[in-house]
Amino acid sequence: MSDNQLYNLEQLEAMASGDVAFVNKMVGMFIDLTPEVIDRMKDGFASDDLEDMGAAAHKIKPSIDMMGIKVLYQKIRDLEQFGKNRQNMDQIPGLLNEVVSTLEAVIEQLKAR
Amino acid sequence: MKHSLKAKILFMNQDFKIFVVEDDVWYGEIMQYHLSLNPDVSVKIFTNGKDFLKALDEQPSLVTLDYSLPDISGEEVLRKVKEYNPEIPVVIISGQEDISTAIGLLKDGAYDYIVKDDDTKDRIWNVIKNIREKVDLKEEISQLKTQISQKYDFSKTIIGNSPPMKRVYNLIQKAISSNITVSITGETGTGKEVVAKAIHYNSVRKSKPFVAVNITAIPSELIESELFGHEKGAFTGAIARRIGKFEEATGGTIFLDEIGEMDINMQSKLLRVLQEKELTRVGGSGHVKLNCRVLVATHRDLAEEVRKGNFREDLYYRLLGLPIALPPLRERGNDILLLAKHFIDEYCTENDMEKLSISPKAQSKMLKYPWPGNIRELKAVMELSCVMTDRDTIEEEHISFNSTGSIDTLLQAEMPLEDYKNKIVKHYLDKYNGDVVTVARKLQIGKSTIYRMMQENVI
Repeated sequence: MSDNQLYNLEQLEAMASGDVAFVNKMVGMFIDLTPEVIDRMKDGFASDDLEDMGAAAHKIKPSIDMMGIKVLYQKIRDLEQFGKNRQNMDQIPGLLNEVVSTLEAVIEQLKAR
Repeated sequence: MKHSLKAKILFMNQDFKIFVVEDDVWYGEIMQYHLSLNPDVSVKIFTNGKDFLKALDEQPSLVTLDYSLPDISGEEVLRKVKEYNPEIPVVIISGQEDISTAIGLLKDGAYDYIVKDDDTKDRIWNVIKNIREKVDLKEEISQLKTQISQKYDFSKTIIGNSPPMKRVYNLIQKAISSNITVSITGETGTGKEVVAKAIHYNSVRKSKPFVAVNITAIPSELIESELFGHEKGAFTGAIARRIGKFEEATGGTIFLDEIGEMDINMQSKLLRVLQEKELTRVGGSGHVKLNCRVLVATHRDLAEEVRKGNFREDLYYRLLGLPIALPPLRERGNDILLLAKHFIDEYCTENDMEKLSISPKAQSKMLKYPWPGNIRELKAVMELSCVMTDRDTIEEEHISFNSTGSIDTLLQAEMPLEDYKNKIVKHYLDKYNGDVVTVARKLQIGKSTIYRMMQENVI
């Protein structure tokens, strides 16, 4: 495990109890499905539909937890809340940017796994 | 027994079908994987509310429902499921802790509310376990109900061909087809409760509760709250509201056994309740409508108790209704043998033994005996005789009445005093394992007297 690895599959592996095929399948699905969510968050922000951006963040939250993407645990929750309640509007662009770039980096790391 | 076991195994093998309604494909996959770890669970995933509602005909055992679906709101889906079949348990899974939403959904009939986090899957396991236990219990209850109604098929439970019993059958039949209060009298062990149950379980009320209350078994200061219930804080120790036996029996039958022992204050309270046809819980102010049939029983002669002033006359007439007097066993002639045969057969079947018969001598011994404990005593004596015999016949010596040993029984035998003396000494010797010294001290007779009786073979 390299120092800059952004994800941690321990939880997923523990649940799969040694079923490598299942872990690979879930990782594959994460790689395939996450870009859609990223687009939905970006679109929501671009069209000022912050509620939908928050809803997308809400949806990906369990995946982030399960994939052990620690740096996003709090950020994804903040993004969800800020979007849903239209609060701390000034922080949203930076937060969204961080979430998106982290997720993209995770996808690259997972692909290279 | 065998039958219910079979049913249980059948149920265990039955598929437990879980519908996961979850629009997040990734999370749905995780749930499916985790839940499918149990081989008898099958999981189906629906990513929108519409497809799920269309599939309700497949009768899921459990539904987990993500609260935020793209097409229909969680509330709407829950409402539709409950409309379709209120018995299907729905567990709401939500991404965030939102207590007010949770409470609202639980009120609308959701079985549970679980927040999506690390524990979600384990909590669902718990829910599945609980639901299975509940289904198991329901299954068991319905089986027991069937068993009970078979058990109280009164042509099988109440046995006897004697003229006094024929009269009793006739009265029971009348009691079954009406709603009248029935007062059952008879010596101890004559089967008053069996008759009460036969009336209830053959009447139109059979699917509702039969609640039996033995007045003597409840301390007099508690009887009012036991019968009528109490409100929280009505007295020290009343920490919660409690439903009384009369309310428990709603739609069914309440059986007040040993009504003759009820104290006079309580009698007037009972009378008022029966007259008004409504009750007030202890410490409460509202009235609760009475909706149960009343059966009472006593071993006393209530008319005599009324004369003595121990029982209120007005209550007596209210409770008298249809009186059924159960004859003592000694007046039922050959019924003794019929019942004995029944108890022997029952005992042999329960214990996987060959059927036993009763020798003529044993039969005549039984017919001569006064049976002060009536059918209850007969049952105990016959069970003991089944144990005592090592052949396929029960002989005279296998039948022993010692177990009851009441002085009245002894006196009814009308023996010469000498024989009574012998019997008493023998009784003590048996009791103290043949310890002559102790027996002599207890009876305050000389040891030599006992030794002489032993030599003369009279004991």
